[in-house]
Amino acid sequence: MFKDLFSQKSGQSQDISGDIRVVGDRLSGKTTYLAALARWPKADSSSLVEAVTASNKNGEDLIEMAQNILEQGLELNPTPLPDEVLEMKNYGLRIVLRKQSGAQNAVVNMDMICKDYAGEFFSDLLNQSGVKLQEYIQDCSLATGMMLMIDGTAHRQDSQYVRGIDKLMVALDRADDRDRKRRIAMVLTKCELPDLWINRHRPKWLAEARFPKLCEKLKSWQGFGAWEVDYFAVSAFGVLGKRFPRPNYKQIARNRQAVAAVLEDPKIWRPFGLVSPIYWLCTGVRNRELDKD
Amino acid sequence: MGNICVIGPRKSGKTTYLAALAYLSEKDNQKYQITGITNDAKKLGDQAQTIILQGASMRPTEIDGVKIQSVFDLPLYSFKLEIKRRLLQKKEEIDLVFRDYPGEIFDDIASGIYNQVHQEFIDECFVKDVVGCLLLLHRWDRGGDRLYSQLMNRFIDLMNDRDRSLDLRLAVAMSKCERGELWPGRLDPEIDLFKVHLPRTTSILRNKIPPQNLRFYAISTFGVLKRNDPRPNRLDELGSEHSVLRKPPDWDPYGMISPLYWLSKGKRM
Repeated sequence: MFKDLFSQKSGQSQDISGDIRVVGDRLSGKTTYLAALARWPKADSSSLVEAVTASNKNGEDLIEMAQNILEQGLELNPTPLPDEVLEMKNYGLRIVLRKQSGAQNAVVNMDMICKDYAGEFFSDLLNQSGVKLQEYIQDCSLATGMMLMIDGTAHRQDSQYVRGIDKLMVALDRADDRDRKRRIAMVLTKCELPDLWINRHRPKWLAEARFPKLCEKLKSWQGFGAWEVDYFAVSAFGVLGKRFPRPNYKQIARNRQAVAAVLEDPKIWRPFGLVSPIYWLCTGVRNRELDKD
Repeated sequence: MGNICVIGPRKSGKTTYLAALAYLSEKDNQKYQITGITNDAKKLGDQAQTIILQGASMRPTEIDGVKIQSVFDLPLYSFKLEIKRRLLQKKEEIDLVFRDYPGEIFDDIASGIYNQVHQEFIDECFVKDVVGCLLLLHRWDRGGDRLYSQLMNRFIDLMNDRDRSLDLRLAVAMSKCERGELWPGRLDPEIDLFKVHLPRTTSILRNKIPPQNLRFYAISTFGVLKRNDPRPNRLDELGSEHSVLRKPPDWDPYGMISPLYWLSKGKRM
């Protein structure tokens, strides 16, 4: 009987952890994503995610950023690229997933540490410039997973991104000679935009439609066996209304590279799909529950 | 589910069509309900009032360098279309997102002028997540046929270049079908409108686009007065190119929804 009790207790919580790097072009929404994730405004009893809490000071800063900037309807400032890799902020967050009915009856604690690379890193990569590039790549190679953030409307940059990501993958391959699979999540951001929103439930199709060359490249790397790749659609701003979903944003500017916007109604802030890529990066298993609205 | 581009030469009625779509959401219909979602769509609905009812001039959608500089400045109109079925059957819901193209681009395609900005607009309409294009044509004279056939030849070439020749649906519609000469042909538009009035254009389309990706439609945004009084429900004001509804309470547009259903689902409504 005691044994039963004991086993039940150990089944009550499951711990997962991950060390993640967020990489992407300027204005692709990396910091907004992290801030929205840390703030987790969607406190809803039906959602699988019970809570998101900061586990270090930088994580708290993220929450503050979300509260003080995003909820006021203001824009986030671009993240500066520090000279030293060590100066780069390490955001610590804990995501608690609710008990699910059925077989997997345990609370899941996901601890993640995450570094938000400035967009300049990505352009340095494209131009192979910047003195610290090598150090960054070294740092990146330590991670368990990489989140490649792509603005869903930036499909004109497709061929440019291919060059950048190819260089990054080659460099990472050289930097780390350990024989292990690395995961890369291609995350399409800003999916509250109507032309992306209607296809949010088929992220792979959407990614291939908009970024055919990039997806081809990722697939070929996956074929070599060194990488695992999956595709996600996320929206940090989310939509207003369920039956007639309208993007919760006010557009400031839009150009070929990105679209800039702020929250329209911070009181009804419901992001979409934020946790799904992290869960996959940490476990290698896609949790369909997290892809739901 | 799908992104749809509304294309066609100048004055073919693209914006009026979309405005009417937005305005339709206020009308009751037994078969369907269409609702504008994004702020842009709602704004268009408000404009529709003044455009269709009061004939305020619908300004041409132009690349003017101020409001519209590039394809990214075009508003995205998103609508939800709900098809009502018989009792006990579930409603069918379709999400539609439209981009309304400036007509000048298509005039340039026909004449073969290359323009960087225009090129971007064209590229955008061939991105793989665009399920189809609604092509509106309004001329039915010989000159129109000549112009459209040039246009279609070029357009199909461009489609080919971008690998969309096999998977892009094209709904070709004759717009402004309330015109007396066209109204009787609306029931079988392919034979009675397109083959008769635009034979060259029709045969080019028929020959070069896979049959499952091509349909012909007749659209009348204004409609006619009554079933047995098929005079156009439209008033053309003297000295103005703009039209208004003649009897707003009797407004009954024709054929606006079925091309959309086919474009997004690939089957008939």
